[in-house]
Amino acid sequence: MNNIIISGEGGQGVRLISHTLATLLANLGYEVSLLYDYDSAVRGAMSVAYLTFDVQPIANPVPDKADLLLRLSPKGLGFQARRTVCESGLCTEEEIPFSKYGVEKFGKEIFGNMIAMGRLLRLIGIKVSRKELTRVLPLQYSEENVSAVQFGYSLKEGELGAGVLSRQRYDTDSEDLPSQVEPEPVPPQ
Amino acid sequence: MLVQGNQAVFLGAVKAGATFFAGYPISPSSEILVLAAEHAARNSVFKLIQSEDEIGAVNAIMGASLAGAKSFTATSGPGFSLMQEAVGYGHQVEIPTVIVDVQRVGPATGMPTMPAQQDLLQAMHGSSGDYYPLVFYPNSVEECYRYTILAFNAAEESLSPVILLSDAFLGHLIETVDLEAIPVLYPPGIVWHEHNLDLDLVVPGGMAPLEIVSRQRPPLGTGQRAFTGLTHDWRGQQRTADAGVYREWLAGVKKRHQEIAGNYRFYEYIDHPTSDTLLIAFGIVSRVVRPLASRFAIFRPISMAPLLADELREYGRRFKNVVVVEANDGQYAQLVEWALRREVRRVPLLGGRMNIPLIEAELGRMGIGEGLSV
Repeated sequence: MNNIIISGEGGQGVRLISHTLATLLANLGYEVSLLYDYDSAVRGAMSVAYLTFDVQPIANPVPDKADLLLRLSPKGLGFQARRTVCESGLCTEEEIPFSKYGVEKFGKEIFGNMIAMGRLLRLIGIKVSRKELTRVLPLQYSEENVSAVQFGYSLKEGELGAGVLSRQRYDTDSEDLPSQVEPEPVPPQ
Repeated sequence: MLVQGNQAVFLGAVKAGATFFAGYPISPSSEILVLAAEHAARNSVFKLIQSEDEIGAVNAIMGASLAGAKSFTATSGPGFSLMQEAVGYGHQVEIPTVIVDVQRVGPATGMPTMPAQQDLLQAMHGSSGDYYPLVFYPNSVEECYRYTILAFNAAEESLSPVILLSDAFLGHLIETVDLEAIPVLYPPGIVWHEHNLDLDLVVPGGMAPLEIVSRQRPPLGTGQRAFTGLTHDWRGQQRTADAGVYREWLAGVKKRHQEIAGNYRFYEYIDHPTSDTLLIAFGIVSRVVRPLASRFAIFRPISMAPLLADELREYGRRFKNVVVVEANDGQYAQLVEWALRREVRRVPLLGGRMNIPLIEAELGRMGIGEGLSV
């Protein structure tokens, strides 16, 4: 998966998720482009991030379709994607109650965005250590954020389904996020 | 290293030796002002004015340049409109400086965060009178850095305000780039301020180094000098009814600009051996169009002004169809039509939306490229 689109609204953490992912991918040696597409209203307006990564230089940083789409809000444009992950109620594919988990597991709805990032990391197959995550995430709420990413990464694949199925409570396996795995180097070009 | 387009512009300006920035915040260019403020707080030789408006900003950089500093400002369409009177002043007084216009959808305040290429003609002809601006438009973060440096060089050589165009997407685009790997050479004998001490760069094989052009004008205070926007002679004395002085001045400026512009003719051409269609695109749109290189030839002007008329004729004559894809309603297309003396097709990408399906749909309506896929 090389094209990721993250769609939400201002204040949901679209920038934080996408920039953190971009930083992690760049640190792994990938060519990365990240483009923000947002309305000028600060809160509550459409906010979209186009994140592309590859071992080759990136020709077009404005993809019209994604390999992976994360939808956090009903706002935003209609995107085509091979696979869509969304907040509950926003799609018929993989629905995960990120906000609900944020409240239940970490005390605040906003931690749902870090759970979503953990899910994205799992889907694009990036292994990253807690140490590396701590290094790239904001200092404030660092421990909670890293744990939330770990929670999202550890959601069990077999229990994720569409619609009603995905609304079931997921078990997690914290062993799924390697705690000290070193980043895998990109093959020489 | 992840670098943003606006950030690369600022870093390029510092690399070129800029020591003065004046600006007024406006989306989508404000990051440049913020970076300048942070830089000024850390480096005493770098001066900043956050002015009361864009008119104050552009006149401040003109004054700073006359006082000896390499100077620049950054704005967007509405602010660029306010700066136009001073652009003409800069050409009349022959002031080297750089104006960065990070374009958004207009007219007026329009769509502040949406990308556009609607200031193209304003960059060429926005002020009064005859003048011969140099305008560049990069298409990547790395090029934002490179062409900012070249814009400063062109300003010094042409003794005029040089325009660097960008847009909301390019300015906010973040890409992996190694700016330190871009070789930059300083002229011998130049004493740089401490924040510019970066003289031991390795020049990778095959990459032409960017040579910094040093300040051409003596700084204010080295002798009697007078500056006026009125027609004047070489001493700065007003000659407001002397056609001969005016003609001589304009001919000299025109000749100098034509000669200097000859050293700054930048473009990219991607051939296609079997296509009958040439796509012309620039700035961020050229990145969006790039995957279509498997079906069409592509010409990308980087030097927007003066117009690359010879190059457009050279490549345009080879193709049955010439299509200009741009984020405005045909501003560059009309210039290409003038250069080619023939009709060109237009794909206007309006309202900040740009993608391959939009372009393909327009080409399909023209009957171009049907049955082919990217």
